[in-house]
Amino acid sequence: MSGKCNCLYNKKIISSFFSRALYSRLPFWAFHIVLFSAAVVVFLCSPRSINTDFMALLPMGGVNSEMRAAEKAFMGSRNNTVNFIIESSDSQKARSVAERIRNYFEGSGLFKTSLGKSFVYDAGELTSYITDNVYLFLNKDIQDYILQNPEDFKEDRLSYAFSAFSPVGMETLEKDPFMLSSLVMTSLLEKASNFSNARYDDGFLCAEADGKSYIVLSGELTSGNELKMRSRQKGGLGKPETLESVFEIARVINGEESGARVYLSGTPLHTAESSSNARREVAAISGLSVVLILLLFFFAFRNFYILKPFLLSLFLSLLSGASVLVIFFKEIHILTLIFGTSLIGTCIDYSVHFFVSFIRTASHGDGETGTEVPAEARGKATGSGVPAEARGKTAGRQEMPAEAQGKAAESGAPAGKRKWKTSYEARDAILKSLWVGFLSTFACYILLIFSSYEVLRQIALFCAFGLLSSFIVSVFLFPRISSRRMVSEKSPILGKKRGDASGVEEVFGARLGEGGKSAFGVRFEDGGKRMCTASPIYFVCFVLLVLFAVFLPKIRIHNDIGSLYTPSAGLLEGERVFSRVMGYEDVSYALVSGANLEEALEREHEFAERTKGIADILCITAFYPPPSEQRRSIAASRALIPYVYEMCETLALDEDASDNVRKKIETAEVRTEISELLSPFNLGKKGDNYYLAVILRDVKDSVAAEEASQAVGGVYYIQTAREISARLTVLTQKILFLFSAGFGIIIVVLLLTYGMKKGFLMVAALTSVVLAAALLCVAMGGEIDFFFVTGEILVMGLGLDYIVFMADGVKNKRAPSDADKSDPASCKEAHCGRREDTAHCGEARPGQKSAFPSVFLSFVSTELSFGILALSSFKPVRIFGFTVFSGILFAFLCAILVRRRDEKA
Amino acid sequence: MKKAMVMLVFLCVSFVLFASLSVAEKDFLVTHGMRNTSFYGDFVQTKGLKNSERVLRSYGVVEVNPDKGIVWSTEKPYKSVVVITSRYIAQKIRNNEPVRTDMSGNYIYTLISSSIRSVFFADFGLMEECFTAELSRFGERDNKGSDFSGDRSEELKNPKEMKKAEELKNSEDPYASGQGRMGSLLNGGSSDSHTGSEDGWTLSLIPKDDVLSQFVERIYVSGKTDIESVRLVESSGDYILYEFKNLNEGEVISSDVWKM
Repeated sequence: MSGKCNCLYNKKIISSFFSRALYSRLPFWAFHIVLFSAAVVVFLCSPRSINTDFMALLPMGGVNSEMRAAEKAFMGSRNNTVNFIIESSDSQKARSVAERIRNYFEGSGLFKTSLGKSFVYDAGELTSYITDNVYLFLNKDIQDYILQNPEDFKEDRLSYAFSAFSPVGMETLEKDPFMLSSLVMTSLLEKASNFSNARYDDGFLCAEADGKSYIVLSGELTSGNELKMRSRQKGGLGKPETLESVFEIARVINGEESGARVYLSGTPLHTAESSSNARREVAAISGLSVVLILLLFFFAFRNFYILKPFLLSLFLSLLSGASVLVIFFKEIHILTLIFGTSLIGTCIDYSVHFFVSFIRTASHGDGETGTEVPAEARGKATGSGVPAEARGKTAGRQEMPAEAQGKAAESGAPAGKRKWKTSYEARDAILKSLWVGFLSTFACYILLIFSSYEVLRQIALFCAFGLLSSFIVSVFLFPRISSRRMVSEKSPILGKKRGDASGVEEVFGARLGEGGKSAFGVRFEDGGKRMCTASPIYFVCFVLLVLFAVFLPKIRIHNDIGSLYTPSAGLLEGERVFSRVMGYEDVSYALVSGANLEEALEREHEFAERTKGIADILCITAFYPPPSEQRRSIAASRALIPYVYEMCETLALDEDASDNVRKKIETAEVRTEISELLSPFNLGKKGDNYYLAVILRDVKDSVAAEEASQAVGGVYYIQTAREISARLTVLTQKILFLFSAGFGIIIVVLLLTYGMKKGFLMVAALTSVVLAAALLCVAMGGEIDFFFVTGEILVMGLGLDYIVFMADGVKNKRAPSDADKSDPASCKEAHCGRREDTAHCGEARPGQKSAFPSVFLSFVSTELSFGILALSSFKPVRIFGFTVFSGILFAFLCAILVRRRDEKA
Repeated sequence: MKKAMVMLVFLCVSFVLFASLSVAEKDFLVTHGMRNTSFYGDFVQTKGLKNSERVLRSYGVVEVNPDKGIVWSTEKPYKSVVVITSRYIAQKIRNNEPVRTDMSGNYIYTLISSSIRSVFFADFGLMEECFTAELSRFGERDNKGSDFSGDRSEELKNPKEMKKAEELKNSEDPYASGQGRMGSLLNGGSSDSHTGSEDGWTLSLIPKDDVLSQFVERIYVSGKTDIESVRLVESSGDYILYEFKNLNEGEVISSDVWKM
């Protein structure tokens, strides 16, 4: 008995706590202070940066974090290199322009080394290294020849030593009388030369193509300079301090009649150009969205005072979104900010719902609320037909609703809070719909957080917390800061006559199925008697289901990363020329892992052997044999020991030399130190494994290359564009799965919250929205891509808001006003009660209002935001914007079909 | 100040003038052995160390054909054939199958081939692409003689090498004892081209290409009325000397060799 009492007591306490909290600003302050303080502390401890690298837009590959780290290490240098390609029909002109560019950047600190110099290797050093370790480097053919017939091999080498133009240095002969190093060098140089169309000539990387001479100057940017851009300098060339100077010198030279043309290529340039565009777009989209939305609200509310809370909500939402990013991410991607601008249109929805409800409540119940009405408003109210009786009762302040007052009194709430009665009433009227709408949209964003795509996670977190902030502001702050002066009787939301359908409803409502004159309603009649009126949404849903079933086979998930990014014409041409000149039209790469360097080298060698004839391979073991090959090479070299003295004697070497050679062959051991020349391919240890990189050029059969990588094991073959597209497709499938799961959860929640009848109505509308999206996809080619699906998730979240608000209406807990009593028709209109509620019209009973004006405003503001996104120059943003734009449009139309209305027999 | 400027301009102009061959110099070279016609003759290849007596010497026949290329057929002490054309370099060692390396896309071989062809075909355009050229001319009084009297620059003098050549001359080698084409070559002075009172010349070629210059520091081409020697000096100081004798216009190499 005592336990039961305790339980009831605890429930009472909890209930009392929530009741108090609902009428307090504490949640608002607590949420924002904690969030902003945490963000400031995190930022001060570890400053965050903006990541403008558009390669980060693409999901990183790799089967695990180690592979991803290895991929990042390998791509790091490549992604940081800028190439100047100088084209001229006269090689001397090309050379002089190349020298000019090199001199311009000399000593600027923009590049790590002098342009082009980083690729020049010391041939002497290389020769010396090979000569010193030649007994480790013999290839398989030479090994076989020596092991099968060492006598013949010796004779061949002598013949070679005496032949014309044999590049055998006399000094080398002392260390290497069999001239094995020349065999090795020939093989290595052949491999190196065959890998590119370009060659070094007098310090420049040169090539010929289509009858023109090309010089390629490449340079790796120093750390920190990758993305630095600044506005274009007017006039001549400035100091080469930023990437802008790279564009600038190309522009200046191309503007002169130098007889040469400069093309640019390299990831940093694409990133810099894109980020520069992105920043401009973020500013433009944000600015335009805010201005248009504020204009819309001013048009709708006809009141300047109301714009302040809108702006406050907007500001706090964006700040909350940014704060949560600062807390959880070291780098905030620029694309997050571009996508994030859509938050402007979505977070404002709750403010719209609140203030529409508020001005209708305040206007509707002037006579009862005790809200102070400014003289101006009073005058307008007179003009708009507010009864004198009602006007006379507006002298007091707002008070809390009776229910809330009771709860507040019970829980000890200060009596002073009773003055916000009207605004709390306005909030309570939409609270359920607000909760459902917020939770559904929030859940949709949270679903995206589970994707493995960091940019998407950032966007989701940014928008989810922006929405949360907006929701908290609307629920906990707005009722406390709303005042009667925010109400304008001229607002089209209130209609010509208070209590009438609002102005927007007048415009759209009559055409879209208002008041039983449904344009879409299907009425089943029997002998002149109405049997039932089915909501047109069921019919729409049925038609869409049939169409979906017909076209389902045509829908497929497909991503083509190549089509997503279109560089500027200049950079695109630069990349084409670079690929043609260097012969890199078709380059892919692979990552090789091993428990240690030795194992990684063995695997890489096996992979190279298996891909012979499939592709040209550039890897460490092409130049540095793996341990197993080195052991075989040493064994072959030892087969030459009996011939060392004879060889040395013929070559006029003294006995000391032959003794040294013999000793060297006998003591030769396997080595695994990778030369600095091959360091770009040596990715080092990542986690528990060692990683090497392999470049494949001119892959004739990518399937065979993939099979080779799988056969070897520990090899991850990456075909950049194809691979990324495939990864995006996998990601799309995962998100579709999350989408389906979310859809299922929402159906259950709707049915549980609103009951079977209304719940099914909402489910039918939501299903129609989803099906319409799929059919839109069919109309546009039948391919569902990653950005379409992410957009649809948002459509589901936002569309559900409209459906819930429209289907559930705005509950008016307060008794109808005298005006309602005197005008039952307007009461019905104003309350929009259910059928059972309509009976009360003319009586003092609680009723419901249409949510049309607020939903309409939300819809227009959201469409403005996403409509502007659909004009973005970035294709992913454009697809996303268009998807949400069209999806929201259909969701709004469906919401109209499920709209509460008085049914007339 | 003006004087200094004039001197500076003069120095610059001089540098430009010396950096490439003048028309007159090219004409001189064409009339003194560097001609663009087919010829053949004997050659001796000597590989030596900068600071050592040790040399490797081999003998053979060379044929230069501007339309086809150059064939180096080494006959002693080991047989080998090297064919250099504008499209490929082929090498046949003893009785093995020839190894052909196509030039297309192979920069190193293209570079070597171009360098050699520019010298032997008197292709001055190609030569100036590959090298910085400088011509030195001197009179008979400077001709102190090397093996074959054709090489007169200071760098080419090598007493140890000459001693070795003497030893070879006195050996039982039929070529060294003066029999056959090589014999006459080693005996020196028997060729008309080396006995006249013509002025001698040496063309100094410095590779422009970084990669080539890491292997070859300088090439000296010397002659009188014919090319008499080509000396490749490596960056280490080691050298390879090609000396020519009995040069005649025409062709002697079998067409099968060209197809190698």
